[in-house]
Amino acid sequence: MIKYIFRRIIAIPFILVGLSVIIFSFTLFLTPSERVAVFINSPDAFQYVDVDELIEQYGLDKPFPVQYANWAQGVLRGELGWSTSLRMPVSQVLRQRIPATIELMLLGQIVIIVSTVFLGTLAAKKHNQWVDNVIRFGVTISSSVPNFVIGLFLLIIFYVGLGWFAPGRLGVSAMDAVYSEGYTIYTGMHLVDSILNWRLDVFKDALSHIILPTIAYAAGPIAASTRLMRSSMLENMKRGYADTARVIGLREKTVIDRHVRRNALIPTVTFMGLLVPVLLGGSVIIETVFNYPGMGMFIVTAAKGLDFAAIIGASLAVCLIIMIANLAVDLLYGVLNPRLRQD
Amino acid sequence: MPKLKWPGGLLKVLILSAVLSLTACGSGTTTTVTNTTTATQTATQTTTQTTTKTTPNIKNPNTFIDASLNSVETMDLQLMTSSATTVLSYNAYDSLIASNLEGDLFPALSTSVPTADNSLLTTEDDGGVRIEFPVRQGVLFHNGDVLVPEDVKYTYMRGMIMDKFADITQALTGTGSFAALIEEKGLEAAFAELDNAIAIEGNSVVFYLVQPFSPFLDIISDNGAKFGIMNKSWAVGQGAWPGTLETVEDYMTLTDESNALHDKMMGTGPFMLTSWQPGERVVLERFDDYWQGPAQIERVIRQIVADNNTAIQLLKQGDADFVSLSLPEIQQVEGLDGITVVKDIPTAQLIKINFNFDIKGDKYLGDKQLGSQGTPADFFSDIDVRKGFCYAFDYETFIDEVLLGAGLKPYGPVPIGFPTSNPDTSQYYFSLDKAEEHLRQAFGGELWEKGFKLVVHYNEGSAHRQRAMEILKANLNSINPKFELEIVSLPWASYVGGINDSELPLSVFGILPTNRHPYASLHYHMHSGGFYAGAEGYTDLAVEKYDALIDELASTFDNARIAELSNTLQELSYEDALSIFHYQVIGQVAMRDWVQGYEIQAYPFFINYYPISKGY
Repeated sequence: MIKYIFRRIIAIPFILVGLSVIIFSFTLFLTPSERVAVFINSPDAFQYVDVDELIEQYGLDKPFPVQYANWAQGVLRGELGWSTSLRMPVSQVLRQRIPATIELMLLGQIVIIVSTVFLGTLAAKKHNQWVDNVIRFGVTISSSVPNFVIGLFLLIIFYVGLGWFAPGRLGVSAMDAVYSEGYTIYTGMHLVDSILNWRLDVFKDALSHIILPTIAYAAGPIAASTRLMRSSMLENMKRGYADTARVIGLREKTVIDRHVRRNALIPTVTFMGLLVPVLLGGSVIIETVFNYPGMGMFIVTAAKGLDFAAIIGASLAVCLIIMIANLAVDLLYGVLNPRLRQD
Repeated sequence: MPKLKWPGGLLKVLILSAVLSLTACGSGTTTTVTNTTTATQTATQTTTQTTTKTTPNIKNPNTFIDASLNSVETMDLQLMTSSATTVLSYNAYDSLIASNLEGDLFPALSTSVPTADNSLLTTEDDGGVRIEFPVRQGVLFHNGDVLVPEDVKYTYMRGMIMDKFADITQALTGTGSFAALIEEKGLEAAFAELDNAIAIEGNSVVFYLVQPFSPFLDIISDNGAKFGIMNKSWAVGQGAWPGTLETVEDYMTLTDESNALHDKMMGTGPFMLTSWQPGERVVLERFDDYWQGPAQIERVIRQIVADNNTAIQLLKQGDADFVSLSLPEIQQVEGLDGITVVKDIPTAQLIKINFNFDIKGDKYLGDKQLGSQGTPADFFSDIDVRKGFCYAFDYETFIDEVLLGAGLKPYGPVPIGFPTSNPDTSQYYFSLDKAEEHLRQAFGGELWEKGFKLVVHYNEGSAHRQRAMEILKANLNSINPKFELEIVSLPWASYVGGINDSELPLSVFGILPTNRHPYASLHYHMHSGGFYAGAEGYTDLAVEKYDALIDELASTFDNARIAELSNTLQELSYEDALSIFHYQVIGQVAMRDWVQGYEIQAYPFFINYYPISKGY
């Protein structure tokens, strides 16, 4: 197991280099003028911007290997280039935006896991009873509606209608608090940092802003994982080890809670690992709908502006997150199944 | 592994979340009384204001929140490239002299507006012009430093060495760029020429122009947007150009990442930059020691939103105070409680459909021959083709049905409402008969016989540009079925890149003059040194017919002569059918009814925050 994990970690930089070459080579399809078009953000901007000068400044007319080598040198110095769409270093953007998306993903994953385990177990325990039917009906509905539609409905009901949960990541006063001198940003995740700074007002504000995107984010995956959990539970409840546990006199609650659910979780955990790229993809839509400044919104802005440094930086970051998540899933297998640890 | 308890544990989490969330939700009873008024803001504009009185439960009463789609490219006012960004420098800086919507000039950091009458503007014996600006005393920068004439000189020198003040360099040296001046005379002599052209004499800053340049005062009176005065000692301390000859080459070409002032501002204006979170928000705070007295509102937040629907929702809830919207969007908020709408604001933005006289590359030309498979590269160099296209465009239908009335048919290259804009200038109008007449004559009759297939473009998502092309396509095809336009959408970057590389046969782009002098729009549209002549391939025509007139227009202070030259140039633009004058933008804004003091500007998203307050 340790060798396997070591091999996985060693492979990460090679995968990242390969990915960067592939993405960087896409720039060959664009003319230098197209690549600096991000500076022309309105019809009047030609009055102020000299496109030819920009091409020269950024070396966009140089051969591909030279451009890639220049970029790679920057990466080795810890610089991922300059984001022409957000006008700041890519590394700085990533430092700001990754925690926002990870906060949303983690909260979403917690909601998904808790809901999945609870609903999947309940549905299995109440197999073919009305509770099971209600859960299955809810799951069908939830999986049929795209997450941006759910997001828009939530916004209409809870913000436009009730005026409760505003879009964005923080309200005006909470954002002032976060950027004030006495406030330390430890992780960039407002829910965590606000507690570490003991600013419950910021925590409440951050929570009120993240609730709706989290629900919209989690709704689809909850449906899929609940189905999986339910069928896995049903399958394990019929297995020999469950019958053995019952025969030796364990209560049904103990059999399910201690033995069946643990085994039923293995395919669900696999699914959770596979969900990470899906959730990251979903963040593009969810963050745009909720005006939530995370990686998703950044990727959209960068892609619209053909901001290649940002696109490459974001892709590498996303790739890294997925690889780490997959590694975490592998480690979790070991926790759930002792036999894997020995392998 | 820790054991989860169900369902009690989950319920506790849910209840805690619900309680926390609900306590975060604002509550307040509001009663509304509706009062609708219609007002006329100016003679040229109809303004409908739907004003509603709400209970004085004003959200963020000391903060004005401007929700905008437009991100901010830099805080360095001399490197700003969009008018949506210069609204920040406009409010954080002051220029030597100021101007209002009508174009009247006022003293600002200079205590007087130079004129011949007050002897601050004089013509020298050698034909040059001396313009003196007495610098106002006791003006403070945001960090408490006192404004001195050296700050003014530094500001202009910095702008010129970076070639961001091309017109000023032209006026002071007769050459339109510092780089060109260096090529001509060498670095030392070029720098000395700039240095000598701006002198500090006592408490005044004096500009020595090599020849009269009449737009000079109009150009610099931009209320600080681009010609705001910087704090030299502070800027140098931050790592900006030290102001010396020895260092000038290192600072001539600055990118955002190499610019020490990219994320900083230090002006004398009514608001100072507090924070900038790129892509999220910009916070400005009131400068209490502002030389004209502190502003009404304590703080301004420029909130960046992903789309206008979000901005509209924020406005409806009172989480934003001000939004600039298109006409269809404004209809979503018009008549709603607590929201004031100002419509029909004539803006300075003039949109043109540009003919490319010399189409580069072969991406969009087919077989490069007249006929059903392509178009020659010099298709639009034939004046009858251009005139035929101008007559084939249905201006009224476009404005009425596509823009829903939110546009004006331009008179010519000088925007309506600007000095010398002339309604009597000859204009093209929609006439299929006239279009046919010209198209029959084009290419000696060959075009009519063989037809053409031309690929034309719009940028993805721009319904306006798409519809404009569709109108043109339908009308040309109705004149002669052999006239075929193939409409293709391009991503914005490809669209812009195609224009810059002169590859697009037709492009819909515009003029947004930064000042009211006709030189601004005429130079941009017609001069060989302006953008369009180069990009659209009519430089030779410009050199032959327009440059001398535009140069003369720039060099005379005689208003009658300026008007005469402007009219001649506008008439030439018509005669040579340089482009289809598509429409002049009309803007709309929506704001909460508690916003007081909004002043209409030539760009609807451009707000003077100084008189803004919140209250009833």
